[in-house]
Amino acid sequence: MILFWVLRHGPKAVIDEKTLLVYILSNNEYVNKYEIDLINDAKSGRKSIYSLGIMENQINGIELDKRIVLSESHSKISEELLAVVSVLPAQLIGYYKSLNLGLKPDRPSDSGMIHRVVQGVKIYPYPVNGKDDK
Amino acid sequence: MLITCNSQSRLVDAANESENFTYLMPEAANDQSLAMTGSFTSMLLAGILIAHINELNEIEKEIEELIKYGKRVLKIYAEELNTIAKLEF
Repeated sequence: MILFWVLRHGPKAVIDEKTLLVYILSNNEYVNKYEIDLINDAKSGRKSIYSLGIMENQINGIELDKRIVLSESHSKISEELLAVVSVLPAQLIGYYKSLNLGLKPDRPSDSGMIHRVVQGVKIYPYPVNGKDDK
Repeated sequence: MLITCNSQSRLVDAANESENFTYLMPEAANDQSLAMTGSFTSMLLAGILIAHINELNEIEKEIEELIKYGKRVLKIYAEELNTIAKLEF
């Protein structure tokens, strides 16, 4: 997954037939103008394996393999709240991908190499008023 | 200010010792998995709600809408996302 604004800076060059493109679209119509251009621009390079767009309401003018439309009643919530649900499809894709690869998403590290709660971090006293304790 | 999904967390103890605020997420947000899923969205939502703590009545309807969106992804789109996950990317 690549942030919209940085795509043209380079990541566009790595899109190929093994790339899944997931576009998480804004619900701000002004921002959509740029997003639509970028999605169409991405088509000019090598083709990705699949393109998925996540949007609150239907957005016209873009070609995607699949759209996830969050609202069924043309409702609109604030963009910051929209972020909370926009991540869900990515989480589900990661979860299913993990299962499909025969991995165990609930216990990813049998060897104990990585932990759910990060180990070995020491907590140091935080300096009060920005000044170091001396 | 601390936001945690685990009531047994050492962060909670640390907060009790000082004048910090601790926001404990619902038990279901305490993920079993290493990758954060429900814990991430819970804490993100909590952060947004805390930022609007004086306007919670005004945004309640939006939160209800947000819940509908989430349920829609899980009910209607989960199977298709599983199909997408099977692609060789």
